[in-house]
Amino acid sequence: MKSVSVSAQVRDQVMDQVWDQVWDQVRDQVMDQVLDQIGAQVWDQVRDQVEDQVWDQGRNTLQNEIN
Amino acid sequence: MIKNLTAEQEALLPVYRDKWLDIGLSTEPLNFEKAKAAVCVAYESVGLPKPTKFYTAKSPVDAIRLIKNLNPTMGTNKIMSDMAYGCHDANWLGFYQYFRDVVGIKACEKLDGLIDLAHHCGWLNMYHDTVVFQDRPKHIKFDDQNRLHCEYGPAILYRDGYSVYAWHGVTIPSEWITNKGELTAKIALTWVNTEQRKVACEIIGWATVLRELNAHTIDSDEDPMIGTLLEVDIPDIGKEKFLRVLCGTGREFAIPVPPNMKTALEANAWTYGLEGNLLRDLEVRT
Repeated sequence: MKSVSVSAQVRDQVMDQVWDQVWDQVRDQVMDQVLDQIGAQVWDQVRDQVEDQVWDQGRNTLQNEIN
Repeated sequence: MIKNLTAEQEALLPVYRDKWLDIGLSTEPLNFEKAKAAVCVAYESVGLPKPTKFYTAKSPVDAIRLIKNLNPTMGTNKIMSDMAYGCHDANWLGFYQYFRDVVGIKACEKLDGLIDLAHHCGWLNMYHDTVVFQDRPKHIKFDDQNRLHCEYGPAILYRDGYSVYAWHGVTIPSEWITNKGELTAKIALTWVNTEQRKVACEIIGWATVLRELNAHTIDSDEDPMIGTLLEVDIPDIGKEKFLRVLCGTGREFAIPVPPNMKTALEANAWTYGLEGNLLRDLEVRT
């Protein structure tokens, strides 16, 4: 398997580019409104409560189990 | 330039929020075929050739093992830092899907593959020729305030048994739940992480912990149902007040109360959201 990750190309860079393009087309307050009412609320439960917990607590466990 | 959302567009905000909460918290098994198709769209959208090898893992741990088998030169940290979040990218993907579908921003179409992918898998690792998909958790449990919580098992459980234990949003060692009998007040009170220490005391029961802390009595009401106001000095946390009280079934409880409480009656009333005298009045009437 080729070990070169393309996650940054496929996800991070695309999201950054799309962010800039949305920013060019809508006013700040519209961005804020959608961020607040969709992004932030989903973040609170999915990222804060689930993804971060799996990551934070799991990191040591994962390393201990694997190493 | 779009200056405002229309009323119709605003009405769809909670619809998209709820939809992406469902996607982010989905416990459906990985849909391998649909995930493969979606990730190929994501690769093509940035000009990369489609991957040709696809693997599935049941959890983050399983994915690390699998990737290390595929390429033994890769370290755990690198593999973890390369993980993308799939369904757990719900906050961003929901945001962009709203702008794509409701506001009509064409640029968001570049995320079509990732938006579709989030419906079908958990985390994933993407390499030039290979993708390793992870399953989503088998269950995720919350308390009534939407904090990660389960009193009798893992709050997050993957299908291979990998799990996260949590108590009202605080992650804790699994044995505090699986082997509660071995969690003693001494372990709880000397636990280094203060947030987890408080949780350990809650699991053991504050009444038990207070007995070991030589709690100082501030006020004792003649009515045991009103209880006793206590103050203790918890190592590294400081002074905390508790109301020790008997419930209707005769069991003893200790409830943390605000530091400004001066009497047991006031503290007991506070637990009902009342002023102290009002609680006494209520008792007289009943």
